[in-house]
Amino acid sequence: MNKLLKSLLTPIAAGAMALSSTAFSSDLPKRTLCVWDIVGKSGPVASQMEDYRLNAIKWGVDLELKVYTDEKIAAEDLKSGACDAAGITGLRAREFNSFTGTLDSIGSIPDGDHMKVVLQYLADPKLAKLMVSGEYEIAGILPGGSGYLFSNDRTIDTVAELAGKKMAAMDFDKAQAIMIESVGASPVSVSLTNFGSMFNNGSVDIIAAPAVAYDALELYKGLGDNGAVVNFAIIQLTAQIVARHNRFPEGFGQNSRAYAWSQYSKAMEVVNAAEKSIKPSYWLDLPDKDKEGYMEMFRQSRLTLRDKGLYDGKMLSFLSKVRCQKDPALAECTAKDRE
Amino acid sequence: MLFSIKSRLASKLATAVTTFGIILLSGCSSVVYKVTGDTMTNIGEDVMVPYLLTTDDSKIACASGEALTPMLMSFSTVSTPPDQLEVLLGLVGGACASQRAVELELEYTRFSGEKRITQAQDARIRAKRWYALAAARYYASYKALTRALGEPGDHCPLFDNDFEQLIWMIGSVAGLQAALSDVQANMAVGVPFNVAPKAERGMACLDDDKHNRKWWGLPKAIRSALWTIVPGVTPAGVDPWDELTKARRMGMEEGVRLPSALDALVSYNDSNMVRVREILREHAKSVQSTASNREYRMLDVMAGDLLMEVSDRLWTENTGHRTPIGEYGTFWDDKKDEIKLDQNLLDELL
Repeated sequence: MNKLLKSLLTPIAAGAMALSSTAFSSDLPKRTLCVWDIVGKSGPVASQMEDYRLNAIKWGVDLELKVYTDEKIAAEDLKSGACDAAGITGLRAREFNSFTGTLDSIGSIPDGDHMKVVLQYLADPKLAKLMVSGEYEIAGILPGGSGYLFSNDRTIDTVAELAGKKMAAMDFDKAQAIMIESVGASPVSVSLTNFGSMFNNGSVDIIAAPAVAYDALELYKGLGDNGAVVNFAIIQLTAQIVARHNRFPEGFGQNSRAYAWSQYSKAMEVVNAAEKSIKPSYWLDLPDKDKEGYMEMFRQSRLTLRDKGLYDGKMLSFLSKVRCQKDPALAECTAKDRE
Repeated sequence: MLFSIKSRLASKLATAVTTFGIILLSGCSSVVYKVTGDTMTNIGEDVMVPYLLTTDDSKIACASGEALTPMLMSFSTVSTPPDQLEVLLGLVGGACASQRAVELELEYTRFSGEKRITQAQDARIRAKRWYALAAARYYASYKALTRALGEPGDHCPLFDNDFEQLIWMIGSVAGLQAALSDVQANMAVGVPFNVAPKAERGMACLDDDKHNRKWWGLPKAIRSALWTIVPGVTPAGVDPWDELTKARRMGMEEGVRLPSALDALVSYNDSNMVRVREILREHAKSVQSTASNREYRMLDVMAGDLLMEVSDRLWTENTGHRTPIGEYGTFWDDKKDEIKLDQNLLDELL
């Protein structure tokens, strides 16, 4: 009988010990972090967020990860309160914080070097209050790499030739449709879940996408034999963690932003590897003179979109100062209508 | 009656034939076994080892080295003992056991940092057990070397081929490793410590320009590593650390970076963490710019494993965890590559 009791009690005692050893994390407030990863729970973003989760324990929160393959639903669940924080694209994050959401604005950050400087500024504790907007706080920004134009016709190498072409415009980013119309092309409304397949089956002729989408969405199918990836970054994409400010302890946001900034190089390694994976023959270089013209065209577009209330003026002005610090000889630095 | 005599005769005949058959066959089988044993040894030396050296999965090399050792060694009972092969297998087996010991040492460091004393003690005991096994395997490798090419230190053997030179170096390293692992295992095996000075003298046989060029600076690296450990053997006017630096460069140029691994190990032993960090950073860069030597890729991979172990020790001692993914060649307290922020620009935003 004693033996029987002992054999029954041993696993219970062992279980109790195991529970007590994990007590430290069960004492912490539990919060839900919703993450968008196109691949799902076994995707690269979800995997990175597991590391983030471990660090969050140090900042006093026990996060439960929920992975969404549809970014829109992740954002909606954040709004409804089903998620306490969400990891989404900067384009989508604009509706939660137009200051950081304007990072993903056309032509405002020319390359990765500029991006690094910008993100270092934004991680500074001095700017903490700009990270809070209403009930939301931006708790980290990571680089997603340059957005390039992918075209199924490599003979299109000037803006004039875009006339009449079908270009993908994200359904949630009004700025894109406006810009596409301004160059005479026809915007076709797409979402993050279908824009790859629409390019691959020819429903749209041109899309803007980061290099990481090339393999993940098999964009080489849409590029075919005559396609091209224009070697000119039209936008710098970001991923942002948007948190419901009052659901997290004091200091969580800044800790999280510092952590995100510490992961910058790692994120860029993924981006750089993705850029290398694009078949070299697809890259299409533009003449430097044309690029200068396009930069000015992008600047004019930004001013228009700012006046329409889509881009945040403060961020545009800041980004302009970073560009001019790096290259004071730029024409825009002395322009009357400087951002 | 007649039938019964006939049947008895037939039975005796059958027994005689069977006995003769068994004797004949068993004699035959020993011939077969000998031929098979020789063939296997030759295949091992001429095919398996060169192939294995070109591969890059050190974990498979470890598993197959451990698994094949009893089979290949079993032929020593029916054929010429495959001593040269045993030198290599002993080193591989020893390295496998050492790796497990290092894992447990990391655990020990982590537990003691968290003041979990019982777990730390247990990890240390387990590490010592693996070190004892490592010492025994390394020492078997060294003893096989003495059977195959003579005891290092007395005179230089006449090397018939490159494989013998490689075995000479590997066996010497195994001897040194045997002594060091045994120290970690509280002298459980009883490896005589004089294998270290013997290996040092033995390595002088290959420590010349020609062989250092041919073997990626390894003879120089082994010898100068030993100078830093064995008291009183360093030749007058020679700085072993300078020699190690030279050997490291040769290894990096040729894509077999064993000299870097040896340098890191003895620098760690000497508590020269500045030098250890320098070697790890330099190795991380070298791996990006110079591909492994195609013929001896496995040795370069094993060197990388050893250096990662050193990096993991440093990271664990200072942060509790090993080297994070993608951060080999960097350290927890590295100053970030950051610009000085323009405070005016920050203020303007507010």
